[in-house]
Amino acid sequence: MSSKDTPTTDASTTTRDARMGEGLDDRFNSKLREAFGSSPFILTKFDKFMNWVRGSSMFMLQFGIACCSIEMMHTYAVKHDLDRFGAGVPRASPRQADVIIVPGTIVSKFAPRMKRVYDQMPEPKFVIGMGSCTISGGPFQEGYNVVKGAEEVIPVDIHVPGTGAVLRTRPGRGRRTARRGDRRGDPRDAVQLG
Amino acid sequence: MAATPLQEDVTLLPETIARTLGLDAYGFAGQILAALIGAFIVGNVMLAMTGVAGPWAKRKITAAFTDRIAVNRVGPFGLLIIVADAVRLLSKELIVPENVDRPAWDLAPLVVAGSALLGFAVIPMGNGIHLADPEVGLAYVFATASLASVGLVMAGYASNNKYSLLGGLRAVAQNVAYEIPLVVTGVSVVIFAGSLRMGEIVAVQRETLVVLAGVPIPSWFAIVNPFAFVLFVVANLAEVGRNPFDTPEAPTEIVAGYQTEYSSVYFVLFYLGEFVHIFLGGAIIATLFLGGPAGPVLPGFVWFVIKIWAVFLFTQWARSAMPRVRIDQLMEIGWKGLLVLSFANLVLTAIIVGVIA
Amino acid sequence: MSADPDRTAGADAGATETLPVTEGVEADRLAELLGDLVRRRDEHLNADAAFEVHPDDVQETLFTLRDEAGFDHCSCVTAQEYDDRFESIYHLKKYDDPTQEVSVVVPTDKADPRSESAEPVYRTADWHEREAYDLVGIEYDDHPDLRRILLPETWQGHPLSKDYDQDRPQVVTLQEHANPLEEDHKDSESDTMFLNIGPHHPATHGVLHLKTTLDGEQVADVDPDIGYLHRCEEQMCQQGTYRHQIMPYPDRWDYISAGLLNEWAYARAAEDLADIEVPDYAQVIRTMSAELCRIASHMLAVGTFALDVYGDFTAIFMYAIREREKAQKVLEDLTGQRMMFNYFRLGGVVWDIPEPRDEFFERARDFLDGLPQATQEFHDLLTTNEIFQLRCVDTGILPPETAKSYGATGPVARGSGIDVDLRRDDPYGYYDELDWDVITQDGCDNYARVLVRLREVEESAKIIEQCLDLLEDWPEDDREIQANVPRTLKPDPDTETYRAVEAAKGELGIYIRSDGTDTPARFKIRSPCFSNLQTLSEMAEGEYIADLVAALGSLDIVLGEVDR
Ligand code: SF4
Repeated sequence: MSSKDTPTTDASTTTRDARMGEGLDDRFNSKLREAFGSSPFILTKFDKFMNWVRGSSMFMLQFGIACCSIEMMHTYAVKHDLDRFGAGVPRASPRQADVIIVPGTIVSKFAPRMKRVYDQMPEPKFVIGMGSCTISGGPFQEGYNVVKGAEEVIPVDIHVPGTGAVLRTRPGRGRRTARRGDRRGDPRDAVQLG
Repeated sequence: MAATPLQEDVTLLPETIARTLGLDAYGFAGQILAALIGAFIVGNVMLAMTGVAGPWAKRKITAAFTDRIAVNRVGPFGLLIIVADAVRLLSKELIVPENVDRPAWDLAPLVVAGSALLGFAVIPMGNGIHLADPEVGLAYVFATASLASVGLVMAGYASNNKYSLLGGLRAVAQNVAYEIPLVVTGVSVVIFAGSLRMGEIVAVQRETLVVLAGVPIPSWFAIVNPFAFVLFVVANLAEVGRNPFDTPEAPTEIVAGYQTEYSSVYFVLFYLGEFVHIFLGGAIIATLFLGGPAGPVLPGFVWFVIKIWAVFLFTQWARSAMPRVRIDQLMEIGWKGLLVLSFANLVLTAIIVGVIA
Repeated sequence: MSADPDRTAGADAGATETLPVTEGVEADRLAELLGDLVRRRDEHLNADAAFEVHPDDVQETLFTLRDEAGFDHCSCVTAQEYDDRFESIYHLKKYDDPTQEVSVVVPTDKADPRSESAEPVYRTADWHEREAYDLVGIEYDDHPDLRRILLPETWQGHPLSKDYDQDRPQVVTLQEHANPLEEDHKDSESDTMFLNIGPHHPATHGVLHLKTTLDGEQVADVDPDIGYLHRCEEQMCQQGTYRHQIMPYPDRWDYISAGLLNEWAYARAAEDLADIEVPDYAQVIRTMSAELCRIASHMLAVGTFALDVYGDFTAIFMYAIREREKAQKVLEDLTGQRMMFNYFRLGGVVWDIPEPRDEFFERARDFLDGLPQATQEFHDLLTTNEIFQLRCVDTGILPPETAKSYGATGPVARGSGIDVDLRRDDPYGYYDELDWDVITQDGCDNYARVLVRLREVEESAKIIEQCLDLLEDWPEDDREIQANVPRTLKPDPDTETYRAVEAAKGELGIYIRSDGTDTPARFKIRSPCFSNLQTLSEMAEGEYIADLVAALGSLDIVLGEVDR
């Protein structure tokens, strides 16, 4: 499916470039590192520590779009209890959130607003695209009004495939988002396709 | 009642420090230094408590009410979440939105967090941890505690955000409405104790009221005047903005109220401020109604902490179990209910004390 | 003869009020009543009486039908384009007896598609016609506010019309919204403030945008702005084949686990269209599983309402989710999925109860056994809570007359004392063989709506209980789960039907017109939330923000279904 008919293509490309530079995601490069040059020992440790920090504690944005958000709520709630991983404090204001889970189909009317919400979040921020809809438009890909994936609008760090039943993937994965390189296995990482 | 202060023997913390460090010799400068050290210690103890309460205890308590487990992956019982949360929040980008009213916007979090901490200066915490004991102790505590509402208005107004504005306005309306019953109820205690001095209020409560089955019941004002106690606890809930009176934040109505626009460090300050406030509320309740640091076996300070945490637990309980009242209902409860009741309580107390004395 | 969705095909013993025989008579009587207004008589599968009227006679016709024949429920307005004309169809019903249906067909000129608006007759037509304008391009004279509703203002073309070019790029920009009343203004009497609530806001349950004008803390004006989740469901369904490709989509309309109820809506309409008889055994399974969905859905409704009123993820919310998880577990055992079930098939269901059956029954019964205690807990914590009552009783008032005129159905209507439930009034599935009650409350307020939902959960449990008994004792050699349905379904050209079921939120109706191919020519979804949401401004204006939020919560809308 060409992305020509999506209204936001241009905007998204600029966002992506502005965010990432030429193919490079420099969100983790601190001022310190710039000053010290290429990774000295202390900074590596420090990076590790920061990764641990960001991975162990996250505030989620209380952000629901479509069907996936129902399952997202379930992850917060009793049975799956996302808070075990230190991520169970949904904040209503984007200013206080670290992770935005994009749970659902993005349509033309909503895309600019989602971008705005994303822009309102402070760095470092992470995006988890939940469900097929955020990957490609999912079941609605051919719709006249549907944006073909969240990546068209904002940069997505982690894609969780499946439609609806993606819930069990997420706690472990969310952690991994922040840890980036640190791929310590988590049983919950087994992807269940919907 | 007790006209002679019972607490002559208690030395204040700065004096103790001055004596142990030998700062006495430096006269006034030494006193100031000692006071600063004392304040530093007390402030840090309080901040440490909020540090535990904010990211960890609050979650655990809420989880217990809602059939969950909450943080358990990072460190023992998830305690390391405190480190993680703190570092992470502080390392976030501080967003300064366009058109915010700069000095006010920056000062607001400081005012909110600082005002609550100031209040602890006059609270006797047992084991000689008591920074100052001025004549007007109680008035001072109330004064500092209500400074926070200034901070909230500043935050709400300066944020250039309509939700913040609504939150700020609600915060003032609420604080004004509940401050009065709070103070008036506090005054009824003062009538009993015959002093505004915190040390004395605590000392008075040390007397034994009755002996029931061999157990001496102290004359805590919660027992002497349970009515005032209940009033005070309710008004305090509103004062610290917890359910059912959490209208200034009201996440489902006005996003996050006055703190909607704050991120990073400023948000941490607000967050801390909120908890320090709850603890200050707890400290006031403990001092006025629960005998301050008094209690058997354990040292006074431990008792004091236990009492504050009990109040904290209560606020969390209320938060988990009670719906939020609407802003107009809140006003109604404040002005038509609590205010009237607190005055009734005051008059009654005055009469009773007058008759007894 | 309980399981006959095709009511016009033969005598339906389950229908209490009107028999198909009288329906014909009724149609003639109506034609007489309308007299010259009728230009032509048409035949729809659901309604014998389908009258074609002139675009300028719409209001007169509808007024007559409403005031003199008692058709007080405009359940849906379908717009579509033929090769030679545009057409709007008003599907009318009676609240007292939804089996009596009339379709008023208004053909309009291809070059200049204009017809008279029905808004003065039925308030609900307001949004329905805006949608028709937005998607198909018919213009309605006399309409108070004809602008796009689902698509952004800047959209070019009408996507469901024939000459729409989907590959053409569209430009959608972020616009600041203007104050619908006036610029934030200040005069001696009032100063109002304009506030955007949503599309990302914790209280909107998704991506709804409320343009709110506040006077202090009070709501002076609220205008719901929808379309932030318009996923082209109708287009998707029009591209799918009847037999298999459409069924996954209904799950995504009302995604709060009401999937099976939605699937049933499609199944009912398509089975009606293709004249398929569903075996009784499958009907019982359908009934049972659909009610499980209803429980799950109502639980979330109660939970999120509590969230709105309590303001945080508190105990009630968590307990509601807990019960929901249990219901979902049973559904997962049955269908293999937690949300997107895709379990119904035309003519039945996809598979039988999972083996070992006993285990499934046991688990389902365990769930039901725990339910009374859980609902009691809700009553203890929620409905008998003084503060909760303070907040909910007498707020968000929706008088029955207003509710009817806005086409409200489901728990919203029943909370306003309107005794309407399609499961009883227009029976389908196995409902009329079972023993259960329709819950109504006269409160007309937020409290009544919550109470209705909580009680309905109990009724649903009763239904499931009976279904389980039936299923357990069902003779082994008679467990037919699917009727014999041809591999490719091609209903006769130009058959039209509108069929509705009682979904979790109210009357979920599907209009299908076939054109002889294996995909529908027009697939229109009548979503209950769409109509229910329209009542919001009636309920909230003049109240406090907190009540606006509570009222919205008590409507229990799902944006997936509102926007489709
Ligand atoms: S991926 Fe599936 S469940 Fe998720 S929003 Fe899209 S359609 Fe819904």
